[in-house]
Formats: sequence, structure tokens, C-alpha cells
Amino acid sequence: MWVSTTKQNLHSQGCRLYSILNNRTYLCAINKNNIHKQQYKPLHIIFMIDLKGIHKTYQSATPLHVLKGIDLHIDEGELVSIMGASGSGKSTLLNILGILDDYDEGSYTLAGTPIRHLSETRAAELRNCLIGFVFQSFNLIGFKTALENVALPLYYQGVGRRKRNEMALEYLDMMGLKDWHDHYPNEMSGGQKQRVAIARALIANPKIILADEPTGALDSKTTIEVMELLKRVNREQGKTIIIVTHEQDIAQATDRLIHIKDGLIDSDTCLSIP
Amino acid sequence: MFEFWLEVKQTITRNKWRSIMTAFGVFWGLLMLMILVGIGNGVNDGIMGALTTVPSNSLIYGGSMTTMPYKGFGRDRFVQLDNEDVGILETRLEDYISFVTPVNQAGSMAASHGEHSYKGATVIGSNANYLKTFPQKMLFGRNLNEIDIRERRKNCVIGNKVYKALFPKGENPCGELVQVNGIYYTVVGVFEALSSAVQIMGDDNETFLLPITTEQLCYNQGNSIAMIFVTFKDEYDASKMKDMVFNVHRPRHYVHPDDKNAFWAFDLAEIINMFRYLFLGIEVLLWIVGCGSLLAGLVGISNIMLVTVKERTQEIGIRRALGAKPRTILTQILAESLVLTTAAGMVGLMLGTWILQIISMVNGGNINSEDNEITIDPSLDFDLAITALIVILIGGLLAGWMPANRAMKIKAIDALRDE
Repeated sequence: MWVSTTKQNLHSQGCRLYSILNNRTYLCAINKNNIHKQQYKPLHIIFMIDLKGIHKTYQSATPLHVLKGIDLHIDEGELVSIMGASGSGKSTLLNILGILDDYDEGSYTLAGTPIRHLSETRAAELRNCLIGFVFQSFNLIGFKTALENVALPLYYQGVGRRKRNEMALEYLDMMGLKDWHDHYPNEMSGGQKQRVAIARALIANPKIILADEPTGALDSKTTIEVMELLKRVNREQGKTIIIVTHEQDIAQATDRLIHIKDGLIDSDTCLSIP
Repeated sequence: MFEFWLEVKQTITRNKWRSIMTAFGVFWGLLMLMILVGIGNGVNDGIMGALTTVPSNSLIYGGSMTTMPYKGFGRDRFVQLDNEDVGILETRLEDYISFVTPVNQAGSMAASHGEHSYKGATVIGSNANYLKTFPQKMLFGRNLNEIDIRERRKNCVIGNKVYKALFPKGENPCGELVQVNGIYYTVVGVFEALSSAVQIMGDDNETFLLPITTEQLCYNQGNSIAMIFVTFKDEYDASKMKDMVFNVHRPRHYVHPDDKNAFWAFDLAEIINMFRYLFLGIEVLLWIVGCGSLLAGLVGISNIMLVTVKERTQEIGIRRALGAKPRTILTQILAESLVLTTAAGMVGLMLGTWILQIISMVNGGNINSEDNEITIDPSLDFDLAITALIVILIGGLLAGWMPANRAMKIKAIDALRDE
């Protein structure tokens, strides 16, 4: 079936654009149990994340071929989890998605911007305005208050101090941490720290949020809280969120689960339809 | 810009003690540099100042033993200068010479006036020019004059110490008789030597100055002269006139034209030059030592900052992940190093200036007793302070360069890897 369409069109039909199988065939999902292939003219479709044939080899005495041709498309507003055993290449994939590392072959387009052979300066600029990071170990700067930590991305955008702090306070409020703004990270619990980190990831209004084991260092209760928060951000602000995790529970809480095995996508499952 | 400095301030004050200890090296280095160079300058100024009060364009010389046979005379003859030599010198080299001072020394003797006596009076025979060879001030009376010389008058001009010992304070001694070695002389003047930093004939204030003719008569010296001071006109360099002067005396005393050793000479200009080079050497040494300790301080800063950067890998990685450009990190580390060195340097500079001020005040400008008035005024001129500041700034940049480059190479990915 040949249909000329746009993303809006698909959504209006209750379909979710899922993945490109080849140049013209798209995988669409109506619900979990009904995944079917359709052919469309792909002219009008721009994915948030568009990976084609990504290869990555770490050069060393024994070269390590980590990614062996990853094809992945993630649409705007998706909440995706990536799972895989250690050594499967999921961290490398996350680094490439986050413009922290370069790849050898293939192409990567993020929000319409081709990402390839960027200078460190350009990469920093793109990271600053396109990507928000949430890390397992929170990675807050210890000698800065919660407010200063949240405001840091704006500092690198050259936003004035007053405006920066206003916005940071707003985002902390959103995370329910307004009263903690002048506390240092070592005075906060893990859940609070991760919420500060999420506020920091959101403040520059990035296109995607990359979360690397965001609940890895949290207990089960705060894990649920943080996941709820991420889901809320996804639903309310329509942010594209990609979570790398090894916990099945976390993965199940997302809309789409991607398994990586030996540098290739092993399975790509739709868990819920928006 | 203000934002940027706030960021720098935050990282420096984060680990106050380490920052202070790091900065201490530079502080100490600069302090040492300031003090060494300051005192060096002070001593230099003091001694060179004292030296310049001596008529530097002078040659002091006398007869010695010949070392070459000449015109039938053997070697090892003593060349005895006399009054005639002085006359010939004055007429022959009239164009070059400012004045000639023949000097004889009879030795240290006791002078007495009534009940008072002074044991260490240096009896010198010379003319009016003698008092021109060192800075002095007439307290009473007059200098020697032509008539004293011509008529072999038994007049004397005495130094301040001799005067103080023989006469009550403030009394005008002119016309009084003073006895030396059984002979009475009439005091015609009293002088006070203003600087005794350089003494050629002993302490000038102990001088008992007689007309040269009188001295020759009283001490049985005929018309011989022991030494001659020649002061040249400013446009002629004394150290280059030596041969010309000796050539005046050579034919009269049958000295071989090539015999360099028939006269001894004391070349003040040469001595002063020697001092000048000596002090230049000391100054260079002080700069080397001072700059060395400053350099050690800078290396310390560089070293500690390298460690700090290593320690801050994670933090810098996070900053890079959040969008800090490599240049932002580079400038931040450089600025941290610059702030540390400049702050330390300023404190060192201020404390150094202050210490030198105190040395200068406590000393009252003198390093020695009243006899040796060499003024030591440790001074830091403005130029030196500015030079030091520029050195600190450049040093700060250099010290920060390696750590900053190391920091710049940290990638965001390193922050994640540290887990």
C-alpha cells in the first residue's frame, strides 16, 4: 500500500510511526499486538533521532568492533528504554547519541542536524542546546548549590545571572525542590540529587533527554518517584526521553523497549501506544 | 565578564588552604626577589654614591724601581720624583690637566696644644689642591696658599678630629700654635671631611696638612716627592693618560720608554670601574637568585594545578557535557592560575616594599658606625615594581598553560567513565 503521508497524518489515524525497515517501508503500530508494515513516501518525515548503519570500533592493540550497524529511529515525544548486557554496546550508543563520542560509519541526524565529525566546540554547543543528560551518579558539581547546578547549562549559553537563577528556581520548583535551592549536593538524598539533575537536564529546553541508568543509585521507592517524574516530563512537555537501564521494571515503564546485543539491535518492542 | 570571575573565585575559594599554600610559593619568591634586589640596589647606590664624591678622573702615582737598563744605567734604580717634576708636568700637560697635587707623608705623629694632645695625626705635606681631592668643608680659617708654599711657612691646616682633640668645642683655633715632633706650627684652618667612604691617605679628619716645602724641610726630604695626584679635565679619561704622564718623567730620570714598572699608579677610575662591575655582578646574582625562587614558586603553582586538574576531571567532564567549550575551560584554568599568582605576587610586592621600608627606617640610612658613612637605603623604584608585575602576569600564564591544556583535553565522556 502506497500512501503519501506525514507524521501528523499517521497520528490522526491512530498509528504510531515506529521504524524504517527500508527506504520506503515503515513499521507502524496500532497497538502492542498489531504491528504491521506499511509503505509510505518518506518525504515529509523527519525523525528526532535518525541513525543509519552506525559502526563504531575502538582502536587499540586488538580493535574492538562495538557497534556493527545500528539503524534506529526515534520520533519526537517518545519515551524509549535501551537494554543490553554489559559490553553489548549500549553505553557506546548512548555516547554517540549524546554527541560525546564520534562514530566511524553511517549517519546520525539529531533534530534535523547532521552529527558527524564535529569540532569539540560545535559538539559542546549542540550538547548544550539539544541534549539534556541525566547520569547514574547524578554528576552534580559538589561545590555548587542546587540552584547553581541547575543554572550551569544556561551559564554556558551566556544567559545573565538573574535570569538564570530565576529559571533555575522555576525548574527546581517543578521538581518540588524549591526550598532546597541553596543546599549543596552532599546535603541532599539520592532522589533529591537526581531530581536536581533532571531539572538541570531540562533547563536549556533540549530536544532530547538522555538518561544513563538514572535510577541505578536509588532505592526502589525513589526509583518509582524518579521514573514518574521522567514520565511526567515526557507526557506534559512532550520531551523525547531515552533511558539506558538494565532493570526490567524501568524498561517496562517506558513506551518502547530496544534490546541491544553484540552491537546490533536485537529487538525493538512497542510497549504502549500514546 | 563578572560572571566569569565569579566562577573563578568559586573554584579558588573551594579549597582555601590549598590555594593559599600554592600561592605561597610565588608570594615567597617575589618577596625574596624584592628584598634581594631592593637591598642590592641600596648597597649599590650607597657605595657608588660614596665613590662618586671622589674626583674619579684622577691618577695617583709615584716613583718605583726601574726594571730595564737604559742609557748606561742598570736596572733596579729607584726613581725619585721631585718638585721639578711637578713643574714640568704642569707646563707640559697644561691642556689636559685640571690640577696637580704633590703629596708627601711624614707619618702618624702626636700633635699637642697646651695640655691636649692627639696621637694619631697624619702629617702630610702638599699644596692647596690637596683639599680638592676629597669632599670637605672648611670649619675655620683658610686653605693653604701659594705664599705658604713659597716661603716655607710653618702653617698648618688640621682635620676635624685633630681640632676636636686639641681645642675646646667651638673655639676658633686660627693663629694658635700646635706642636708636632718638637716643631710649632700655626693653625690657619680647620676642615671636616664630608665622606670617609674612600680613604686614600687614611682618615682625612686626622690630617695634619703642611705646605709641601715646609714638610720637605722639617722632615729632611730635600725636594723629593713621594706621590703625585693628577686630576684631569673632564674630557680626558684618566686611565688612558697614564703613559703620557709617565713619558714626561721618563727622560729626566733615565727610565727606558718601555719600562712600565718604573712608576706605581693607583687609578681611581679603574678602581671605581671595578666596583661598578662588582656591583653589577652582585646585582645580576641577586636577580638570578630572586628570579629562581620566583620560578620555583611558579613551578609549584603549575604542579599543584596539574594535580587539581586531574582531581577535577569529573567536574570538568560534567561542564563539557553541559556545553562548556574547550576554550571556556582553557580560559578558566588560565584565569585561576593568573588570579593565584597575581594575588600572591601583589601580597609579596606589598610586604616586600614594607619590609624594605622598615629596614631603611631602622637603619636610619647607615649600615655602620659614624666612621663609615655609607648610606644604605633599600629602594624599589617604580620600574622594578612594574617589571615584577609583568613578570608575575607572564609567569601566571606560563604556570597555568600546561594544566589548562591538560584540562582542555578532558572530554565529557571522561566524566561518565569515572563511575
